[in-house]
Order: sequence, then structure tokens, then C-alpha cells
Amino acid sequence: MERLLSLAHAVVSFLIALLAGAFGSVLGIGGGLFIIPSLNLFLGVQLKTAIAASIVAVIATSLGGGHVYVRSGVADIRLGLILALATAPSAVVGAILATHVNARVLAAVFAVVLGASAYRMLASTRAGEPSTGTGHGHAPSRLRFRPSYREPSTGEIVPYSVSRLPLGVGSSTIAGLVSGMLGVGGGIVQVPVMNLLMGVPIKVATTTSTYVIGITAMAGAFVYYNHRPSLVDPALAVPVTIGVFIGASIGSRVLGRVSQRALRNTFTVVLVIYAIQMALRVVGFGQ
Amino acid sequence: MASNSDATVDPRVENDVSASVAISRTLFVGLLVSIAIMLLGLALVAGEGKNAATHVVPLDRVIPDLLHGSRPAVLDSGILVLFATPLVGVVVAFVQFVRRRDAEFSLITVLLLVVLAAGFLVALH
Repeated sequence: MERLLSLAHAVVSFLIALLAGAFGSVLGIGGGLFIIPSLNLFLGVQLKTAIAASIVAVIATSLGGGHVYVRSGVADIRLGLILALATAPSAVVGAILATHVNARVLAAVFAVVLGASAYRMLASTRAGEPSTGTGHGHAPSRLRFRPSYREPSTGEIVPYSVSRLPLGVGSSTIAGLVSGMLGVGGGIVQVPVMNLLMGVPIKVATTTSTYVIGITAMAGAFVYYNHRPSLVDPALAVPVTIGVFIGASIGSRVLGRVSQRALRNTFTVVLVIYAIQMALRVVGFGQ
Repeated sequence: MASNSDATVDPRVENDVSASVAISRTLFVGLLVSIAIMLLGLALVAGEGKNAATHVVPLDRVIPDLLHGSRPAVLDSGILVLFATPLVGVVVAFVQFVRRRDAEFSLITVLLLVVLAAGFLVALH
């Protein structure tokens, strides 16, 4: 009986991750925002264990998307490596904080991030993301970044420059902190930092963020792995990782015809519900 | 240092294509290998007729456990290969920058490797 329950647990975790990976890849957000509350609320998985499973899955998501974006030349590896200088150590700090703080504090932070993600998704549905960077008018960095990227859909060469690098690197520490502490990608912070602050086109910002997230999450995941007792539960982390990987791989193909607007609206509602449920946990409702 | 707004593109930057291919290949192969090991581990643990362990084994015990034929250790090693892949990607980026004699980004990549190593040491303690 116990074995059957364990198997059912693994299958449900896999299915949750599969859906999260599929919808996350279409909506351009990491699956962690859905996986962690789903595991916590539906399967009763401890928040810290769910976070550890998610951060392992985030590495797979990053590698799956990152290798395509790096190869196509849309992701800016030079910018990514510099930003990782800030995100990786802050992810370690975030993960250490998560292993030490009360689960209610984590739930509170998670509720805020879910709420912010819902707001951002709603805002981008209404206004659309600024396709080009908005950091122009500031001096470009003196480091040797590439001067343009080739837009894959049109073949057009799009020029851009990276500006306000110190401010961008500094702000990226928040992305690392959020990623390490909550087991999510941190794109909610990283993408606006690159796009709005550093003047990087949105496509370069999202793809570079996908690449950097792998390095960031790996640094944070190691803390969860080495925690005594380890917070990485292989019976959970492995089905979740494989589920997200398969979901992200098939998501854009299977869900490509579904209206982006309808999907965004639906998942905004889901995020708001999860944020409220997490907030209720903070004030003592639920486990 | 040259500005990235210069009209003449630095050939070291223009030549990032082969570096991108090498990094991309590393990330893809690492991902596939780790997923394959995880699937193998799942199959082995399921075949054993026991529940999978609820905690990974400590890092220093993974290889000895693998050598002793521990099936859960296969699952853990799949997770560790996944962890190692972005790190190997950074090492490949470093090699590519060195080959291009790009001192600036070679140094930045070394700095990142040092930062990551420091992070691992902190995590171990």
C-alpha cells in the first residue's frame, strides 16, 4: 500500500511538472511558480522540499531552453556570464536563508512573488513587453559586448548596446536571491533588469535570462543538496525534473495554437489563487 | 578597452558563433546524459521493488555507493550530472575565450568559476 502511494505521489508530481513545464514554456515563465505551490497545496509536500525539487528542475529547464537560445545566437553569453557573477553568489545566500528561516516566512515571500508575477503577466497582456530596450540614452558599457543579434523570425540584424552595467549587475543580485530562496528561475526580476534598465531587447533579455538561470539555480541547488538532512528528495526531484523537461519540450508545439491572451489570463488567475492560499498559510490556515 | 558602440566590430566578439555552438552542445549533452541516468535510476529503483530514498546520499558517498551497486545512488548521480552541466558550460566558455585571446572575458569567466567554487565551499559547510 505504501509503495502504491509512493508511486501515485511520483506520478502526480510528474504530471504537475509536465503541465507547469508546458504552460511555463508558452507563457515565458519558469515552471517553479506553479510547481512549488501545487506540490505544497495538493500533495502536502513540505515547502522547503518542494523548493529544492523545483530548483533542480529549473536547471533542466534552463539547459533545455538555453542550449537552443545560445546556439541560435539570440542569448548573449557575454552578458549572461557577467550577470551570473551576481546571481550565483546571491542564489547561495538565498538558499541558505531558505534553509534557516521558518516555512511561514518563505510562504510569505512566495505569496509576494506570486502576486508580483500575476501583476506582471497581466500588465504584459495589456500593454505588451517593450520589444526594444528602454535603457537608451545611457552610455554603453566599455566591455566588449556584441553589437547586435540576428532576429530568428525575420533574419533581421537588430543592433543594441548594453548600458548601466554596474546597476544591472547589482540589481541581478535580487534575481539570484529570489531564485535561491524560492527555487524559481528569477526571470521575473532578471528580464526587466536587462530590458528596462540595461537597454537589452526583450528577446535577448528573456533568452539570456534562460541561460543564466541554469548557472544561478545550480549554485543554489547545491545548498539544498548538501543541507543535513538533504532537502533534495530524489523520489520527488527526479519525476519533477523529467516532467518539466518533457513539458517544456512539447509545450510550445502542443499549445502553440492556444490564444496567448487566454492562457495568460487563466494563469494570472491561478497565480492570484496560489498567492492567496500561500498568504493564508502565513496567517495560520492550512499546514 | 573598446566600446561596444564602435563601428568596427571586434573580431573576437564577431567570432562568438563557434563559442556559442560549443557551449550549446555542452548544455544539451549534459542535459540528455543526466536525464538518461535519472531514467535509468528510476527503472533500477522501481525494479528493486522498494521505495526510492527520500534523501540523496551525501556527496562523498555517491561514488562509493555506485561502486557497491546502490541503485538509489544512480538517481543521485543523475541529479549531480545535471548540477555539473552549467558549470562545465562555464568552463567551455572560458576555454573559448582563451582560444580567442579575449583576456577581458577570460578573466570574467575565471572570476565566475572562483565565485562558484566559493559558493560550493560555503554550501559544503
